[in-house]
Amino acid sequence: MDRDVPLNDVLFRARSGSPEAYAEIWRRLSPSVGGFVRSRGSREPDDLTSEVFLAAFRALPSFVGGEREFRGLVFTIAKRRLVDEFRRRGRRPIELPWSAETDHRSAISAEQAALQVHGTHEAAALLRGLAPDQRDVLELRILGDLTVDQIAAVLHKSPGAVKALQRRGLESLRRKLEPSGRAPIAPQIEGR
Amino acid sequence: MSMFLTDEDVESLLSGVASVDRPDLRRLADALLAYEEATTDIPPVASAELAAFIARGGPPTSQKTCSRRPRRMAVAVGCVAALVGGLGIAGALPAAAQATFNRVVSDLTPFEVSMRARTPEPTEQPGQAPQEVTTDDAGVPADRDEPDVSPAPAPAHETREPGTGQSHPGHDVDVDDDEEGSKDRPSESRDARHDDESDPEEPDDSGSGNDEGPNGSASGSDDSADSEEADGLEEADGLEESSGSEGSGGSEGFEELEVSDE
Repeated sequence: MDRDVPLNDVLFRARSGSPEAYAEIWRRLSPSVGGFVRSRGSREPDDLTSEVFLAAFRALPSFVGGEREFRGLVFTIAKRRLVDEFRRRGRRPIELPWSAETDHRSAISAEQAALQVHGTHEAAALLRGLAPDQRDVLELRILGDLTVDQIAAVLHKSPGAVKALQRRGLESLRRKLEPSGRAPIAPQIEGR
Repeated sequence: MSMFLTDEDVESLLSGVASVDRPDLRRLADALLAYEEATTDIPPVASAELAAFIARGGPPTSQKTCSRRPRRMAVAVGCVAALVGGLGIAGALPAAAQATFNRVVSDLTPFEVSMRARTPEPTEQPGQAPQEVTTDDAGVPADRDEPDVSPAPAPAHETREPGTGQSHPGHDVDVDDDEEGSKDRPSESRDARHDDESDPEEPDDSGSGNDEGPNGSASGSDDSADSEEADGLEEADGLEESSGSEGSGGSEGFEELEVSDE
C-alpha cells in the first residue's frame, strides 16, 4: 500500500477487511506506540504493543472517526495496558526524580549535555527526570501526536490541566538544558 | 525575548521546531526531536496472534470462545447424569427417585439394575416356571394332564359385582367346563360360604341386604336376578355341605362337582 495514502483511507480499507490496510496501520503507528510503552517501563514492549493493536483492530469495525480519533483510541488502550502490566507486576516502574546530586552526568556541562542529547539514552534520560504526569503528557504529545483534548481524555484530566503539565514539563527540560542550569522564575498566576 | 513559554512556543517545541524569535529554545527543540527519533527508532515486532490477524484481514472465527459455554454445559450435564446414574445403580437415591430411576431403567433397557442386586430372589432353574403344586388324591400333580383346578388368586374379572361383595355362584357353576371358569371356582365357593353364613340373618327373598355392599352402595339387581341368585346360593350350600370340612378349601368341592357333572 502506498505510504502517501492518508490514514483515514487506510482505516476505511481496514474496516472492509483489507490485510494490507491492517499492515499499514501497524507500520505507521506501532513505532510510536512501542516507543511509548518502552519509555514507560514495559518489560515486554513488543508483546504489549501487539496486544494494543489487537484490541484496536478488534474495535475497528465499530470505530467511528478518523486518524486523530484512532490515534487517541490506540494510545488510550496502550495507557490502560501499561497500567494492567504494572498491576500484574505488583509495582510501578521506578520513577526517580532527577536531581543534580544523583545524576552523574551533572559533571558534564550543560553545553556538553545538549550535544549528547542526540544519543538514544541521553534523549530518554531527558524525560526520565520529569514527574510522571508531565512525562505522560509530553510523551503522548511527542510520540502519540495527540491533541490536548485527546490527552485529557486518555489521562482523565481536564484540557487545562494537560496544558499546565506540558508547560511545566517543557520548562523543566529547558532548565536542564540551560548553560547556567538556572531556570527563570515562573510568573505567578492569579487565583492560585 | 521572553523567558517564559507561551502556547505558541509550546506547540512549536512539541512539533520539533523552535520559533525563529526564540533561539534559546532551539536546543530544547532539538532535544525533543532527538528523543522522538530515538524512541521510535526501534519498530516493535508483531506477535504471532497479531500477525495472523493482519494476514487474515480480520478477527478469526474463534470456535473456542463460541463453544465454551455449551461445552461447559455439556460437561456439567454429563457429570450430573453420571452422579445420578451411579447413585441409582448403587440404590442410594431417595425412595421416590429410586423408584423413578428403576422404572426408567426397566423401560429403557432390557435389564434390571437395582432390585435384583438388593433383594436376591430365590433361585429358579431355567425353564421351570413358578407354580403352586396342587395334587390330587393320589399325590400326582393335578396340572400334568388335566386342566388346572387349583385355587388361584381371584382374577380381576371375577363375577363379583362391584360394590356388593357378592357373586353369582349359580352362573359360574354352569360354566365349569371351560378352564377359566374352573379357576374362579374357589372364590365362588368362598362367596357361597359367606352367603351361607349370612342366610340365617337374611331371608332369600329379601336380597336387599346382600345387595348393599360394604360401602353401602346398592347393587341394582332385579327380582329375577335375586331368584337366580337364591338358587345359586342353595346349590352352593349343597356344595359346601358335600365338601365336608371348611378348611379343606374349595377345590375338593369343585372336583366333586365336576365328577357329578360328568
